[in-house]
Amino acid sequence: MSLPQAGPPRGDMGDILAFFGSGRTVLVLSVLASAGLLLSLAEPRLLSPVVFLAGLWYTRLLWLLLAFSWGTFALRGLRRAAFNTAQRGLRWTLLRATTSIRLAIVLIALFVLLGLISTIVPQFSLNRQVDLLARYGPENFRTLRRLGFFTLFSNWYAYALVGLFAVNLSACTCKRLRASLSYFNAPMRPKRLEALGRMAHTARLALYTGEAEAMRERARRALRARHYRVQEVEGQLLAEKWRWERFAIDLFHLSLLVVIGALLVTNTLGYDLLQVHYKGDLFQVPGRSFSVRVDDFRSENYPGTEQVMDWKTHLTVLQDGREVKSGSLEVNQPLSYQGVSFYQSAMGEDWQGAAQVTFRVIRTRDGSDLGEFKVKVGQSFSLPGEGIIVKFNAFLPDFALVNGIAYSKDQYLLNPAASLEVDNQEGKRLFRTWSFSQLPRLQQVVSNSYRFYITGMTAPEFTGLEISWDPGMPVAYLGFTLMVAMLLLNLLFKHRQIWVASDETAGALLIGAKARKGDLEDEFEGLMKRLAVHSRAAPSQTPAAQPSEAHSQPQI
Amino acid sequence: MIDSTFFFFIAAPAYFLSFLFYLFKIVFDPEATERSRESSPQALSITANRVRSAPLDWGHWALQMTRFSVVLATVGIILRTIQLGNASDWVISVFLPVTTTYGILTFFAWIIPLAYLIMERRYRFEGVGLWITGLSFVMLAIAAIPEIAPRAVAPLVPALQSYWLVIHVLFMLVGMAFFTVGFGASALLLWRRHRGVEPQLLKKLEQLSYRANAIGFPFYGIGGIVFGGIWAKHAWGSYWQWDPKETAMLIAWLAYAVYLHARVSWGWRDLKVAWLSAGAYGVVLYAWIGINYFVAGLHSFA
Repeated sequence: MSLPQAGPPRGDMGDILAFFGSGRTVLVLSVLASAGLLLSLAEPRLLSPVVFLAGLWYTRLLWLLLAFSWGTFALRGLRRAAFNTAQRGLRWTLLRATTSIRLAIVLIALFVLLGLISTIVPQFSLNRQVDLLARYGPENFRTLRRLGFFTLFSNWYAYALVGLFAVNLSACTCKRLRASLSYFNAPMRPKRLEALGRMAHTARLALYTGEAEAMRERARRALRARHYRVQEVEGQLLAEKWRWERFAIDLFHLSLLVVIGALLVTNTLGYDLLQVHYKGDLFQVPGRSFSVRVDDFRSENYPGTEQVMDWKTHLTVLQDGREVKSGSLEVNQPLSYQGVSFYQSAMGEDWQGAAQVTFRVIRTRDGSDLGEFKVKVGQSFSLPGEGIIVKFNAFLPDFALVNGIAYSKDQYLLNPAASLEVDNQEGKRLFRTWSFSQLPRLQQVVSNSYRFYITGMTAPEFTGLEISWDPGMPVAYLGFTLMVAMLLLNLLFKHRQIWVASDETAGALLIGAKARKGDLEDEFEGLMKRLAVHSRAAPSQTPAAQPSEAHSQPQI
Repeated sequence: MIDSTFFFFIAAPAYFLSFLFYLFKIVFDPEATERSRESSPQALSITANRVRSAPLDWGHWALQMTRFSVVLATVGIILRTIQLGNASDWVISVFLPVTTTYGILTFFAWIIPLAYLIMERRYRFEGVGLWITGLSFVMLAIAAIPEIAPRAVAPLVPALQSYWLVIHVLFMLVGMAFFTVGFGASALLLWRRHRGVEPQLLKKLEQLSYRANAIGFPFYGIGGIVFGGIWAKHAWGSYWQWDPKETAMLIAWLAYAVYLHARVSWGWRDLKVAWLSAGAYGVVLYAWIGINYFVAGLHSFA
């Protein structure tokens, strides 16, 4: 750091603060803490997150050291900023802070950490809460939810991070753009002959006496044929092309900002809903005056196999009771009306939401059969003459018990189980029980006053529709187009400059060239071959120097 | 019956042979080509420095063998595409056989050496060739284990029936192939820095690594963010959902962005960039394989 030292001379305390506030200490401690955190999140059974969030003395010490380290680091930065503000004014300090590479690195590192956590901790947006509860257990689940780890990218800190990153990126883009403008405006100047010989691509063409002018004219024509802009300054030919390509990278950075902006517009103004619908459903679309009817849906298999080929849903759009649009949608082929799009997202039997189960109920005391009852999940039925109300609480098509939480591992009927709550007429809970269709004997093991056996199960078929309205889409596509176009321009065009000067004393034409990433080897060789035809050819005539020699170094 | 598996089956020993030739080249005739290229300036005719003096030029044979293996793998990929098309009843006419573990492994064993052959035209390093052919052989060897990579051709699930499958996946894979070449060069650099190699040689290795990464970067980014986004919009209704795979891909891309800025804007040239390149490749591997072991997301199609 070449910055001037501010504040009092250092003592022991100052050394300690300097140690904890140094970038290296911050980095080492952060990496250690992040690694521990990620590990404990990745393997909840081995290392519960609490171990790393609160529990043991060494993790506490690590968090404490980390906080202290970051604190001193930030304090040092603030002190430096205050010093700079006093010396050079607020504008300079702000500009320096926002275009700072350190800031960019810290932001990217934090973002990487956030991203890694989100790839390890399943997110609410893509998972069911019960799965997460089962994975982490109730206590850790609550801790993680308080920290916002299940909704990482809709948290305030994620927004703050992306916002700061956008500010950083804009400031850097502005700074770069200014540099590009001055690069673009800087005129090409003649070079000294020695300098030409040291360039990335150089050539020396030996000439017959008096031919210099003609050769230069040939060079000028050859360069023009390759779309170079050629000017003559102080007897040198200065040729160049594609100077503008310097702006491609500026615009590429701008395109990233556009995409971030589009994401913001989509998140704040648009919506994206996942809805489950049955045949014949009529539903209202939020923010629109039309409604949609689900006419039909079906799943198609590949001929002669059990493999799903496609899911198709037929929808009709109704406005004021009139049919205005009717059409089919399938996976990868959405249907749109007035900017709202409908996507085929899922299809199947809605066991958890709407299963209908037939129970045979036996009174334990005398073993008498009380009959069969057909109930939908969430509904209750009463046992006639017994004064008992049974609530069919939940149905799990693939029962599993993890961390004391019962949940369904899958949506298919692999291990179906029904949860029942049995109350008396006063509403007093008598008992709760699970009835398994594949393990009916479990009902005989428990000593409840009634036994419930599953004798039949059905579930309605559903189609899962994703309904989205996205005002940010045009902005996103603009950003995408800009991004692709600018990367393409950057890849294909590289500013090329060629100097042609005649060395009168040695009777030779000196040529030097450069390009971004040295990327003009082929063109340079082609040009030189074309010119060499006219230069003095045989080596025997000029024993001292090679007659024509082009030399290119790959340079970046 | 000769089908795609047959060609991958013989491409595996072919890659192994190339690997051996590269090894012989490094053991018996180290750095000859590299030195000859470095000391004499490139003459007008590029072919001039392809003339070799060694009695048995292992490097030459290794290159030829690699080319031959790539041709074998190409045939395999084409046959595999036709097989998948037949199995899927040609529901869509354009796609790639990259929908199973077997498919992706064989595809990588084709496209990574291809990327190397492209870079090799300008920067020849037998050490990188050794890494690439060895890796391809290992991939084909893993693909030959039915327990890990079943060979059966499963028809395309509905989610993958889109021509964006070709565009999105191809761009990602091309990006990863060039990153693999770049990683090979960086690893070689880190490995050989202690062995008293000329600084010129290390510089060239560093350039190769940078070039490969700089080609991979736009492919990976466009394939993931732009084409992935457009397909996601088309299939799932929003172009970015912070799906684990998406997030991991973005992190990997950012890691390479840091690498490129370190090299271009801040002028780092030494071992630090090599470590950065290797680290970024680690994140790419995480986004490709590691992620599948932690959480299921939208990108789980199995």
